[in-house]
Amino acid sequence: MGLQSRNFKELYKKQIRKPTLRTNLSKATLQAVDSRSQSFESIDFDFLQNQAKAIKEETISSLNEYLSQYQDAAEHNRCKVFFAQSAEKARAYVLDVARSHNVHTIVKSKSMVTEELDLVPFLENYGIEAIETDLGEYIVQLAGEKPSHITTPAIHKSRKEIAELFHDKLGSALNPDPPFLTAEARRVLRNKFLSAEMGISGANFLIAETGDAVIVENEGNARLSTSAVKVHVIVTGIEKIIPKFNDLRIFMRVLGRSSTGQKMTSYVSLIRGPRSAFEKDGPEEVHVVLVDNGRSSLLGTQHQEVLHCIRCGACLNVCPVYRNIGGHAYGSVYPGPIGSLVTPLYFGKDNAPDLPFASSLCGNCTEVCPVGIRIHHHLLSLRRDVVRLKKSRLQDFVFRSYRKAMLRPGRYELIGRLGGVLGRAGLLKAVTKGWTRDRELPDFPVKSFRSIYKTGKKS
Amino acid sequence: MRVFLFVPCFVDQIFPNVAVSTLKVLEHVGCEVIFPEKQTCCGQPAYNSGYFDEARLVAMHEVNAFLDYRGTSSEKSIARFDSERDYIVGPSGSCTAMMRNFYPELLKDDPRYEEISRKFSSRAFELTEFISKIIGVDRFKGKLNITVSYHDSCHSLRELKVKQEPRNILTRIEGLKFVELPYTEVCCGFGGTFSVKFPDISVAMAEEKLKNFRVTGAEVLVSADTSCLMHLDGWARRNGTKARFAHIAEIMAESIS
Amino acid sequence: MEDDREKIFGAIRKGLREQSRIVAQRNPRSPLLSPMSADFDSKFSRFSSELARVGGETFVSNDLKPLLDSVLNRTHAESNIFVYDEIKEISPTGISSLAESRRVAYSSDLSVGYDKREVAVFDSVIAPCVACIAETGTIVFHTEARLPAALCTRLFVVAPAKSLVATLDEIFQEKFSSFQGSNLFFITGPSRTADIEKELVTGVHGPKEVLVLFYRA
Ligand code: SF4
Repeated sequence: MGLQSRNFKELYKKQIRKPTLRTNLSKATLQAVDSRSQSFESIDFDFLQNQAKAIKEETISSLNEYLSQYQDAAEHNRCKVFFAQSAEKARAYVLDVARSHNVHTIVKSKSMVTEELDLVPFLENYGIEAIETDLGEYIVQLAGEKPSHITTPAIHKSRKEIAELFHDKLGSALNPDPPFLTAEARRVLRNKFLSAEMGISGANFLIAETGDAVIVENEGNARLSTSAVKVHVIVTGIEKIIPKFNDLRIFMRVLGRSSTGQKMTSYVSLIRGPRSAFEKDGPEEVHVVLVDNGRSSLLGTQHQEVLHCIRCGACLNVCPVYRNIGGHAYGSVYPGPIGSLVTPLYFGKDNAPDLPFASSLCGNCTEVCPVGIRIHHHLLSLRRDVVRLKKSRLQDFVFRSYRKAMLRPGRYELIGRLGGVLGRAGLLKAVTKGWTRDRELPDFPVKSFRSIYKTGKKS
Repeated sequence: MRVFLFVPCFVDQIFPNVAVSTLKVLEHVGCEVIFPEKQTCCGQPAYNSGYFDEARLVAMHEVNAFLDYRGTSSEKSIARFDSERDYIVGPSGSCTAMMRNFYPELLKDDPRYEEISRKFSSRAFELTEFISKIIGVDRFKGKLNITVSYHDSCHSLRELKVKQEPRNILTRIEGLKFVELPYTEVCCGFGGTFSVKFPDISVAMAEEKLKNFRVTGAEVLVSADTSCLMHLDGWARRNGTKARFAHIAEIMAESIS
Repeated sequence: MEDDREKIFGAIRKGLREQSRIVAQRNPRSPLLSPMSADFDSKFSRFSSELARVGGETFVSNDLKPLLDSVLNRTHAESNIFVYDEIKEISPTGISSLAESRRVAYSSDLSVGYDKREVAVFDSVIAPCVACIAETGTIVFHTEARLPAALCTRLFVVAPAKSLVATLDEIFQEKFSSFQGSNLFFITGPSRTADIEKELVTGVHGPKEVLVLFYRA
């Protein structure tokens, strides 16, 4: 489908007009926000955020060393580690692995990186069936759509819409009960698990010290995608490293709480390598594809800390802009506040010039981010980059004039008063269309404060 | 206690009553108030729009308007700003946040950076914060029969970490009934230039906020930021929603008259 | 296929060339706001309330066999029960009298690289565990065969009382970092999803029921 973020303005207008979208999203995100806050009640969030941030800072500041250390450990555990600079390279490698094992069916668990790579459509072009097994992802795949949230892919869909979809595509009875729909998906996917030769997953963390891949989930599909197959391919970003096994005591405590308000998700799988001598099942091969795809370009820039992100989705849930327009409006696999950073930073600022502006800068994202990314500060500095990159004559003029007015109190007062006169005469509507289409202008007073103050002082 | 009054540009020009009320409240709690007349704007509109160079110049102008203040002919004594004793106080969480949290970022390469953050940014306070933390709420007394709810502006709440202060002040007013707003911490949708760049998102957020306000049954929605109120009031009037929107300084001033 | 290791490492080195290495000050203190006492009863009560919160159940007894008898009541006559071999060692007097009336298979019956359809028939599984964590109601799991416990609908986990630790901090230590084998699974309650309108549904791909049976040996 490719990146659509350049069309943000059209996309969000289309989304915001959908009658049920805002209701669905509000309900779901506000519920997530509430359970998140509750889950942090019994634990010291500031401490955890502090530690998580420090550990991520350490990792990123020595990324090459930790990647090497990880590679050595993982290879020692008999994993095959492959570095891919671009999406093409990563896709080609996965295809190669699939072909060399004569794979027909792949079971996939949730991974944002594979979305970023457009991996599933690519494999399907080569005649390999690649099935999303996370319920939300499966729904979205059946609908021929993209996920609209990084942890809750089908958050934009109502149960009714899902029932209709299952009825159409799977021939299920038209029953909108979530337990029924879930059972339907289980039935279909169970067969896929039993016939698949290969599994693809992401990884939430890669531990440099031990070479483990950590996969966090609730449904048990990742556990099956990584267990019920001959070959397991992990596709993830180079920034997912954490230095020590013990660092998990911090990350395990923040991830579930931040994303779904759970103290612990149902399943956390630590994958160390392929089947060992005393095991009777598990994959014979484990591949780890480490993807750069724009990430290393953040190093050494003021946006380096954006690489701390653990993709928990908390910033999406609290974002009032996201809540009103949904994930598809962003035109990128990464929506919401973090998407408005990652999309221009990974894929080019000129490809997403509006995203850094699509925020009221309320800062709620920064407040909840478990790894302490100052999200709204980054949005602000990206705005500057975009302004420099994409000259707008009108805007340049506006802000030059603003500067000139503000540097001279006399001129400022004059313009202010003139504005007041025009405002009272009802002549400002035309130049403030963005405001007045849906809102009234305030009443303009006859005197400014400074003139009232001056008069008061003299008398 | 001497206070150098900071009045945001749009408060000065469009909502002078907020500034008049602030002045009154500050004097009521025993402050000597000085208004340095060279001040204009904190620079936030340009900063939030990505025009950092413009913002920097305006910010420097604003800093100098306070730090280089030498009094006016109408004042008897020459009141120089003393960064050890004096405070800069304004009726806006947002502009205070700009001065306290964003100036350091915006001006970090300026040779005077150290001086500015010590003498200026760290002395800048939002009104309710100043009264609670520096003056002490017990210096303020008022009486007003009214039911209010309170909207936390994002910059007050998250940049300045001001949450309890305005509530403590409001609940001190005799006769005032305070009702908490559901989802009070959610942004109202103003967001400066965001409100005109993406008006449909901005008003969708206003709609949500006012829905929650109606649940409270209060007569007045109070906030420490006029910009949020202007946005909400603009939407309410367009949509025939009857409600009063008032800056906390206005309510405080009314309660002491 | 040649990979891009050197290119990526070059880009990273270039990006980081002006930065010095940051070392995190790792603070070993516990982030929990109310500390937990180390005695079994406090840990047990925390474990069972945490597990109950997510829909699991906890039992404790001095004798495993009658305990298994009572919980295996939930299986029906046609149930296929898979039992990991370790359980035999734990309960030498037999698994359960009920188990004898069900169809039971042991992990030793599986051959290396068995056909996965073979184990899809087991609706109930009795499994050992490596440890349990009171803080979160979590079972730490590692066995010679991963699939049966992942595919079943009912998971009975047998845990010696001494395997119960208080917090996650005790798990992410040296001792567990050197585990043998290909995997270590953490299981906290039934398989679940909230992907449809945030409504909680259990038993998505994995067990719908999770029961933990503590015994004091
Ligand atoms: S930016 Fe922070 S809050 Fe947002 S997804 Fe990443 S880690 Fe979570």
